[in-house]
Amino acid sequence: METKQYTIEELCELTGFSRRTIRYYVQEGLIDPPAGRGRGGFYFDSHLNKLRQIKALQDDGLRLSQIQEVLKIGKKPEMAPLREIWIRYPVEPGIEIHIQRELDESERKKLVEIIRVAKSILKGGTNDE
Amino acid sequence: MSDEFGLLSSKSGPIPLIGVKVDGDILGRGARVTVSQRFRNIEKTAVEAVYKFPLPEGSAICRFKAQVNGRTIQGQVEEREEAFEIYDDALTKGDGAYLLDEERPNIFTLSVGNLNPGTEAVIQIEYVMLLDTEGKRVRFFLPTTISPRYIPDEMADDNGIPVDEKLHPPYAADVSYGLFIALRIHKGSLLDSVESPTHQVRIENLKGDPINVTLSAESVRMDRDFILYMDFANSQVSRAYQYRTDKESFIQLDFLPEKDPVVEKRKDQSHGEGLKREIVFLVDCSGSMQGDSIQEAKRAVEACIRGLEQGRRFNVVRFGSSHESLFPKAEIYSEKTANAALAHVKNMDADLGGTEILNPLRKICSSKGKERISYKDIILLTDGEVGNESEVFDLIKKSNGRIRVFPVGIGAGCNEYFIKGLGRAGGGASEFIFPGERIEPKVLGLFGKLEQDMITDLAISWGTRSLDQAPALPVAFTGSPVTVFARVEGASIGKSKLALQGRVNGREEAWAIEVVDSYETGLPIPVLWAREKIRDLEESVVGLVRGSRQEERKQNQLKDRIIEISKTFGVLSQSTSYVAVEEREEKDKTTGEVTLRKIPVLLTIGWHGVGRLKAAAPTFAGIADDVECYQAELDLGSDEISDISFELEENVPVFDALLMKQPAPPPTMEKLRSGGVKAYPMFKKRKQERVRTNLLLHILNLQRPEGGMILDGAAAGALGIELSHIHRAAGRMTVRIPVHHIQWMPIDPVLVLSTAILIQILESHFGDHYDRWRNVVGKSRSWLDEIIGQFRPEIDGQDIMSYASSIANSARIPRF
Repeated sequence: METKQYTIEELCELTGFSRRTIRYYVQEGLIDPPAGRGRGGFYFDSHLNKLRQIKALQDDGLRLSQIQEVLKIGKKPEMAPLREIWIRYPVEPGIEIHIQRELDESERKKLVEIIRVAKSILKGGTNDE
Repeated sequence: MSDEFGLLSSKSGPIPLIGVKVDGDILGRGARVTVSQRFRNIEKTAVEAVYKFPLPEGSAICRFKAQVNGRTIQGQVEEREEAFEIYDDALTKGDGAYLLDEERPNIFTLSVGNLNPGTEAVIQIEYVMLLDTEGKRVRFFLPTTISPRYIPDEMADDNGIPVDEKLHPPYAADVSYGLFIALRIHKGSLLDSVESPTHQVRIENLKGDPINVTLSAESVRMDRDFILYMDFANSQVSRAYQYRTDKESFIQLDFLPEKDPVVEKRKDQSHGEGLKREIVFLVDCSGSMQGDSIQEAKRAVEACIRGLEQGRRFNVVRFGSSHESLFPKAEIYSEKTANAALAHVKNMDADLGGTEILNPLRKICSSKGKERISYKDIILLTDGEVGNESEVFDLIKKSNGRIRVFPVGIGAGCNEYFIKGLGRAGGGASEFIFPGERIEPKVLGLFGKLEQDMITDLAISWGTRSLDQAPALPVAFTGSPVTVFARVEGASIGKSKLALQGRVNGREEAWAIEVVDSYETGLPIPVLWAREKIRDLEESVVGLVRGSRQEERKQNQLKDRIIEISKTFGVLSQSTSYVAVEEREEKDKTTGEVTLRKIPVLLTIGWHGVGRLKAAAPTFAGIADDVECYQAELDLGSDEISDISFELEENVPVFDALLMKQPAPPPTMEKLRSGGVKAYPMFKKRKQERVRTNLLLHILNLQRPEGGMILDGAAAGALGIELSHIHRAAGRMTVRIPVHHIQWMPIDPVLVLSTAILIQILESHFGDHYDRWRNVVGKSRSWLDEIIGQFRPEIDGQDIMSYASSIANSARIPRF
């Protein structure tokens, strides 16, 4: 549970971002919208951490487009993602294959093939059925 | 994003902008313009409308207000981020708020916040500016859309926001709003003609005060610049205008240094001055130039190459994502190299991708010529659609005058700030070519500027009291107007004349310029001073060294100074914004969700080859002295305007037919007064002048790379000279061939005679276009003088020049 609340002014103060920039990041979905209705809502530590993370990457000379890439694919060890997204592929009741990232078309085909073979093995058949 | 949160972002949806109206008053060079943008929210929820739009880069924005629910809310200038906070606070409270940011001197972002369902808001932005002048011509310019800028990969974000986001609106193939323009030109009696190369306009109350100029259509597509040319009967004169307040006075100095006839003559004979500087034609072949633009650029380069003098070093470089030079090092101009260059240009296409202009410029700035020549003039042909303007300016400024840049803006909506700013940074001059406008006169005009003498160490004696001059270091050339502003302590400078000193070609020169009171200009000089000062400060930020403390302090000081001037004079800058807050009663406050609506804009016509714009039917009106005031609507079809295309490849304008065509009989006064007249006497005068100009340009095009000019059928017909007569006379030419030349007959008699005739025709009949033909004639003369010196050509016992002069004198020149 997040308890500490920040106003946008406090967030600016703590991160060094201008209010214009923070509003823009919310608008672009880089950080979640504030809690509560409209512009007057509150921000939490999760917002603060995300902004600090963006700031650190900017100080390394990264542009926002690059930062968006890093935020999407890069996992910084000290900042484990709050939720991990796994995609579930059911094989049989009680058996699932979990994949942590999006697959491209050829990988997806391979996966389907694996599931097909797995099903057939589980049913007692052979893999060259 | 879920709509349980108040901030919604959506790119599609109804466009809350209904229309744009531009009202302007023009007096001489001064313009005061109000841009009104009408917004209406037809949605069920409140909206925040964000509209990015262009204005002229020289405009001093001095008023911002919002009219909403019968109230007028005046905006005020605040530091950029503070202004945003005021805006943001107001929106948070549910009030209405209006914000105008300057992203570039020619790109602005308007935010209209919390526009409640069913309500309307009219935003009014007022600016003043001095219009560009060239001789007797004054140019009113208004951009209408923002072409997509190329932003280099390595360009850093601005305060954490991508540059792309700051500069670019969303684009649409069609939009529901349009533009209407109404201009009033005061003291119309001083004008000879008014014309627009870009739009159909209605011109009323000619010669009256004011002349009314409006767009013929009620609403036009905002996909091209609007340009209006006003030709005055007299040229601008050097003069200083003084604006007094209690404590200080502001001066606008219009300085038009005349050419020194002695120097000019010497130059024409020797061409010595120009030979030192190498010329590089730098042609933008990026994708945005596809279509009309690259064709225009190619024609301009061709015209330039034909006009170069023998012996000048030159090169042609084209660029996009990559760049390539025609010659590895600049080559000396000769028939051979010129033909190679022309063939190269003919095959150019806009196929080089992005607009990476820094790389070729860096290369040109660093490479040295074969003989340690490092002084270069770059003629850059581009639409200027880049987002890294100031980096490019910095690069050129660092060359300290060693590299001069003469940018030519191509297209229906080029980046005016880039073109003019680069000209300022590179100590050169800029020019603009709208699609369909004739290229040759503009290019020749620019060529004339290459040869102008720079006035160095220009010092103006404003008086002894503290002063603030803008620009601090004015760049002045003989023959070109320059304007300098000053803020001086005390209610008056107490002088009737200003003394100026400078050096031209190493010689000390002095000028004295009359000081008059400012009401003659009709513009607030303090505002113009502030704008010029802000620009001077903004553009003086050179070479920011990353991480340098000292540099950072300097930057901050400059920024503070800009903010102070901007707030004191109410003139917008890139460091400040205009903000207006509409406080609302509790019942009117916005409470529900607010939808963000970014206003889509049209792409510039012709950009990236999108759409084509061949000579938009121009409208122009002439004003003669012999006709009383009257009102007439001029709607001239293209058949009335004998515009001859000078496609260099085809090159077959038919002057004979043009001259033979009898002008329509002068209409009766009754007919004039009743309107609906298509041609009338002063229009004829104007047309005659066009015929004459066409003829001049055609003659200039006859020059061959080595310098000779060959008379062709079209020119001969127009001049009333029989070509067969020339051929017969040339056949009787005798020459003295020196012994060592006996093996070859090196000259073409027809070419020699034609050149002698054409030089004399230009010199004796086109004196008023001296700047246009000076270079061409100079080059032809050197070529001819050399031949005369060696071979002494004679016809019927007369020397060639005397024989040619009798033919030149009998030529029929269209007069006006």
